Amino acid sequence: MKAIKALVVATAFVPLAWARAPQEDVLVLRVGKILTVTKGVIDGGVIVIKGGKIIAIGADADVAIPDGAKVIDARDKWATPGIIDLHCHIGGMTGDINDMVNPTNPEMSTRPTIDPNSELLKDAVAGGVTTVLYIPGSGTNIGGFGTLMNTAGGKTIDDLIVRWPGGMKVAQAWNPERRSGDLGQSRMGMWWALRHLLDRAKNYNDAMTAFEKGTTKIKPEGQPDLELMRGLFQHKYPVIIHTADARDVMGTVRMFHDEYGLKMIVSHGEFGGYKVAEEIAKRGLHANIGPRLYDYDALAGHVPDGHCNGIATKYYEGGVRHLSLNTDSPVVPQEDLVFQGTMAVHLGLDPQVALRGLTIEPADALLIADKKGSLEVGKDADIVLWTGDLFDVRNYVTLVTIKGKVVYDITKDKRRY
Amino acid sequence: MIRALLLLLLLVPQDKPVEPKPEPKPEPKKEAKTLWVALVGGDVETVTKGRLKKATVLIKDGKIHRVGTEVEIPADAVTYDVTGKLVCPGFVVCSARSLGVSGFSSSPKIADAVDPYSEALNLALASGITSAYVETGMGGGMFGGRTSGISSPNAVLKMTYGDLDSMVIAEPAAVQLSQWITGSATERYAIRESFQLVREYLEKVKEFDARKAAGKTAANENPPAAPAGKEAYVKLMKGEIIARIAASRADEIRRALQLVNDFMFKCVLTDVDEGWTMADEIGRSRCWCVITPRRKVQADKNSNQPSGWTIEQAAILKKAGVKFGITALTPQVSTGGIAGRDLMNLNLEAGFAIRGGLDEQAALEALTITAAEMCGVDQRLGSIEAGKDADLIVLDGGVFDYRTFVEKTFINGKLMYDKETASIYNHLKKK
Amino acid sequence: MFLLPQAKDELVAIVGVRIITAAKADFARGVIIIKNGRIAEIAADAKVPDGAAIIDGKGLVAMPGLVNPYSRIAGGGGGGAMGSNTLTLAYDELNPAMDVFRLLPRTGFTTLAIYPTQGATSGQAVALKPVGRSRDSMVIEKSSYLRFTMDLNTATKQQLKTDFETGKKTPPPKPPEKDQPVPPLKAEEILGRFMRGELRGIVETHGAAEIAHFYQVWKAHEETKAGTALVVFVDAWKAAALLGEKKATVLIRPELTLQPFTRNRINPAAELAKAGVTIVLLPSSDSLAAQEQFLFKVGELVKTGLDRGVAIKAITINAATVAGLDKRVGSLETGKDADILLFDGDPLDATSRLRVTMINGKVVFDGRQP
Repeated sequence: MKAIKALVVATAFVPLAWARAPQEDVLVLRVGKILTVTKGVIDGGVIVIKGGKIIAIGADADVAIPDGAKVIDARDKWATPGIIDLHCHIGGMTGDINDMVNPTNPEMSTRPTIDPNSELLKDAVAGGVTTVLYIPGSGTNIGGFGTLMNTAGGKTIDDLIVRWPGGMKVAQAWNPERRSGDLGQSRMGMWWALRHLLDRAKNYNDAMTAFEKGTTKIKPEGQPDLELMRGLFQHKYPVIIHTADARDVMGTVRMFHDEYGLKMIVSHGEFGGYKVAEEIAKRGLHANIGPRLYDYDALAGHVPDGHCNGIATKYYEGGVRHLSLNTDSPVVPQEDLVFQGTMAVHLGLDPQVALRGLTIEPADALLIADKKGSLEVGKDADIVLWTGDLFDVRNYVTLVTIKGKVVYDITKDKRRY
Repeated sequence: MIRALLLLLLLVPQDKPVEPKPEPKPEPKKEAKTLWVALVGGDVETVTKGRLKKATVLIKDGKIHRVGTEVEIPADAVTYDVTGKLVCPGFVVCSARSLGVSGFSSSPKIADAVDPYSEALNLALASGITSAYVETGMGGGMFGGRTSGISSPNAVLKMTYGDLDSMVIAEPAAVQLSQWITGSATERYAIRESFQLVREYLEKVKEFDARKAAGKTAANENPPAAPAGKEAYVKLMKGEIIARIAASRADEIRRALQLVNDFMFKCVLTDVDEGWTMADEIGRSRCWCVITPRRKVQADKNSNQPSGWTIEQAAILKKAGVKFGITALTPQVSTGGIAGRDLMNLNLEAGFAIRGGLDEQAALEALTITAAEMCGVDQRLGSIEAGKDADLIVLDGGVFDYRTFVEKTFINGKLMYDKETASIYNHLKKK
Repeated sequence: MFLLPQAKDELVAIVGVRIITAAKADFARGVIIIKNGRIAEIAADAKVPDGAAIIDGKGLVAMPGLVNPYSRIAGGGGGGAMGSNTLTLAYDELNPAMDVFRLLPRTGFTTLAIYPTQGATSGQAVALKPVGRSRDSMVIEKSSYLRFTMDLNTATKQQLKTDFETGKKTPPPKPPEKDQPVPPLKAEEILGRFMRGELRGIVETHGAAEIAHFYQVWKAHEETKAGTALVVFVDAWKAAALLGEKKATVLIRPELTLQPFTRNRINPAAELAKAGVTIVLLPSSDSLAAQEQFLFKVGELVKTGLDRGVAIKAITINAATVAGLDKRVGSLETGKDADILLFDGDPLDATSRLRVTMINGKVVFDGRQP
């Protein structure tokens, strides 16, 4: 009996037992209000962080604080997952976002342009933004590959990278148009250029995959410019398309989803793009809205109806549920991504949809929802502490962790935003 | 002789006697009927005298007549039930560009260029703005930048759509002296010289007046002549008008303060970004500032002094006793689609000052009474007090809450905007 | 004393025709008797004088010849808003040899007033009919009205203010001594005529804002007898309340516009008429094509809400009035010039065609089937 009791006692203390051993640092945040995004709101709870991950999260009563843990008391704060921007040009202040000789540039990427010490990244962190897909511009039909990176947490680019490539940047129209007389002056030319490359890449991937599987015996000739595109066809990373107005949004959906079967994100989607929201919703695709958030004036594609129409609201009303918001920084400064959420809510979007649109939805679109986008056990400990409702502009960020490391703390660092 | 005279009479043309035309009867003057308007049942934020709960604002012929909880309302008053709402003074924009001014005019006088049918006026009304200090110069934009123009005409305009006569309430509202910072050495010298001349002149006048009072002036001695072309400087040194100097960086602010302190005139420093690095100096100078909380200027990497921007600038200035107004990143109303960075959400820009540590009362003043003071129109605008213009807004939430909309806007007691009937926001219902 | 032999009266009668008079009453079927180029009688039934040339009006509709009181069809254009040029005469730049005058009658326009363009006070417009080949045969009024232009400019407003004040202070010129020639009027005397209501004035504005600014300048003279009309832009509907309050007359082109930030159509002329403003409709531009299409555009305005009676007056009698020509033209009434149009249907119906244009009792365009 005593042995069984001892066993029971022993097993009951197992969760704490290993925590007693001081092998790794454990960080605990005691928070007033936790917005998990996917598992509701916890009023008065605890987040336990170890090895860069959330290992426990729940109400005070449900989660014990391990001994030896460093505890940050934030009883008067709210916690959210790190904010994610899947369309930004944060390195673009130096002009490094378009190389425009060729209409398609699948060999190019933003990785070499990243300055991990950039003041812009520090400002982003102070705005709660922890992960961004930093992509080339829309000066060509394919600007290149973007880098999925955290905004802080290391000295070198490699420390920051979440996944490289992050995704491929495409511009369907509304900027990449070439000069008169060049190939790509019209949609006919631009989409030929896109399909031509996509066909080549698909064939290359099929041929290489067949060889890798052993179906064929002769290795196809290597095509370095198409290597990265293989990952698109293997659904390792998505293609993010700058597109607008109903015609071109539909063109995007048909080309990248219907024809080539890629993981895709409709990005911007403005100037009347919401008119085909049902088509996007039908296919379960992702719409990433911004930097413009409303249509009021008679701009191309929007028939003015006297109302100030929230674009995200229109997409939601059209049935789209995979919605996210962007800054297209520096068009809107990176640290104001949450402010984009504020304005989307002001113009009619449900606040919960807006919160998802800054966290789990972009994570899902980027195929990293297993790691980021919500406060759940097993995910990266990317956590932001706020003085209250994140959409209320009077509130601010007091603490940011990225992969469990405190990267911004206003009690120690200069207050940035 | 008489015959000659009679003949003369015949020759001289005789005018027919003209009957005096009867004076046209003047139209009997219509007895002007007093127009009473009352806003009843809401919380009234007076700005200067606190917030009254469930109070009444009684308006008589466009002016605030009485504010309180026990106000008797005349039977024929037009009454608005604003129970559950917040009544505030209409926002006064301390620095705006080309708001309500026709783009097709090159007039040196804003009063001859204002467009009472500009749609921008309706957008301003929907945003709770009832008046603005307006310049027509260049500068500013989505990424911030200078909002004020050099020597551009300026005026305080009310957003009275459809009513030209009520639009211009002060022109000029300031003397633009930004050339003191951006002008050539010659131009800067001319400014300093002008001040010197006027100071000497005013001293001579004072001396002359003293002698005259003591009976020591000669019979034909004239008072000293004012220096030609320096009327604006005379008004400045007499305190009758306020100057404006655009000064973003610390060195620019310092140069502006030098001038102010040397000649002791009222001044507004605009586009202030590094004011937080020298808040005490600004406080001592009694200058007002115009700030935009979210405008970023990069820190000077070559300097070991604090520099650049901080969201905490407003709070730091307040602590040093500096008075300031707040304007938007784009000091105009914009319909281009980028939300929340122009005058249409001015209240949120002030909210960012609160984010940086400013108290709500000071943020409110920056949009109302302080803004009115720095434009010289605080006798009429900027707070809900008896005797002031009935420029009021009715809000469906807190002033700095992101969910708040303006429900009604009144200017001179007249309803100029109603969220339910204007189409811009009437599809957005309060949840 | 010798009496000259009586010249034979020229007599024309249009019989059995539907008559739109633009005056008190229309006639479903009536007779117009024309004597020496003027309307002698107009009635439902009248005796046709002996020797009269008869025009069978069966199936036809008669209306007054169209009046364009604000035209630059004979070339030129542009001009600044600076300066006072009261003495400038559009008459001096008139070139009667221009082809357009030959072609005008088939558009239905029988009277034109051409205005000068330089200066805040631009000068005096000339009124003419497209007949003959000389200035003398065409011009009916060398000084039809004074033309002004507004601008959102302190200098322009000041110039107008000055000219109005000058006119107010200038008394009528003294009559000359017996047998002395009448001296030409000085600039201030012309302004004086205008301020006393003896010469009409037309002010061109380029937007609703300028309407408000004009009334600011005009405020001091609202009680005078001066007859003014404003040429307005398509956004004038925004100032409908102001224009109605001032009981204004406006000249406006027959265009529809949109309510701001919507795709809702607005009929500016209809909105202004509803507010009690007197309307004159002008062709869309000074091109010949615009004169030809004018009635289609007027019909479109009626289709979209403008009262038909207002539209008819807007292209006839009101147009004549603002140019000071209403004693002679603009309506079919006894004593007025016989400037008559005959259509094969309602003039505002898109399928009707103008068949006959008559000026001063003479047929100058005949499009009837042989």
